[in-house]
Amino acid sequence: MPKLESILIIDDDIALTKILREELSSVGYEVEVINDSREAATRLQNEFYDLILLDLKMPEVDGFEILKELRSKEYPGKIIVLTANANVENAVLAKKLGANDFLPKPYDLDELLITIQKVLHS
Amino acid sequence: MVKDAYRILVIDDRPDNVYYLQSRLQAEKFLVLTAFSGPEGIEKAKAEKPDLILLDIMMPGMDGYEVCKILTNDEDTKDIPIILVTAKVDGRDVAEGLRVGAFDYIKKPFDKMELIARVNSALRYSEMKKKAIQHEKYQIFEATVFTANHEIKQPLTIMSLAVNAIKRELQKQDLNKELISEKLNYIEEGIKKITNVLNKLNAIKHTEGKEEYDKEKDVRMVSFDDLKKEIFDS
Repeated sequence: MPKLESILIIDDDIALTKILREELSSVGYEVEVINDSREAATRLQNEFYDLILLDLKMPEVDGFEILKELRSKEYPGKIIVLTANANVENAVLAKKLGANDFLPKPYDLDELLITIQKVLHS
Repeated sequence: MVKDAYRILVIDDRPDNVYYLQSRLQAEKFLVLTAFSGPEGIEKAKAEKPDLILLDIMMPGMDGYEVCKILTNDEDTKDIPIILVTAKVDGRDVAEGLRVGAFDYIKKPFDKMELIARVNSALRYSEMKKKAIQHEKYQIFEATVFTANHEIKQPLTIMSLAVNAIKRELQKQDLNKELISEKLNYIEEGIKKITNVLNKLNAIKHTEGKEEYDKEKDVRMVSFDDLKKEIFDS
């Protein structure tokens, strides 16, 4: 059996991350969650995930800051930004800071899976 | 400035005064409404919501001060500027008029140039005030919609994932009732949250700013997917 692809979800919404983790696990990904965005930078110094699902609006450290930090340290994994505040300005900024894709909330699982596969295998 | 759009209400018990002001103002392309007593003036002001009121102080029964006080305390008419018309030149009259909420005053007999100048100045002030109020309402509306947007999309995402989980579970031979019930709780929670947000939104008064806002929003919603493609697939 090939090694599972790993996904890290960074989002402060506990209910959302719980159910999203279950759904992504059920289709065969290895999933981990960070709810407190302050942990992201330190944890990602030593750990590698094939893909990060990154929320933008979070207390303490927002998604853009994490994105900037990761890409400035040349983090090699793929990153998809997920946000309820989808507008052109945010999409452009996310792209500039190194996001591989951008998915507006609400999304359904199929949409998310298509985006994940596209990003992981492009 | 398109003057003929402005409507001015003249309130004076003396017909000769009313007709004089009416003809002067009509000559300047204003639309003139008339009332010959305080109560009639209040009624017309509330019904017609003119852009400006010229109000005589000395009237039998309800005098100009009283009319002014009522109009500036009434939600329907409080933003209409009032110019008091006075035969007296006593400083105390002017002070009393401004105290009860008048914007300005003008003395009889009228100086034609002064009359028009004061009318125009009151209308300009009123325009600026209207714009400021509208801008403020628009900003409040925009901020609320922005928050509501997030507060709706977040639970919707969870609900969508919960529906998916339930569907998946239903395909199995042995149903895990606990899992289904847990996912249904997510959906119930989401319904509550979204209902709350919609109730909050309903509580805001719709303003003229709304139309402008919706148009802009529509453009964004229609084009976002295409734009996103351009941004990320380039």
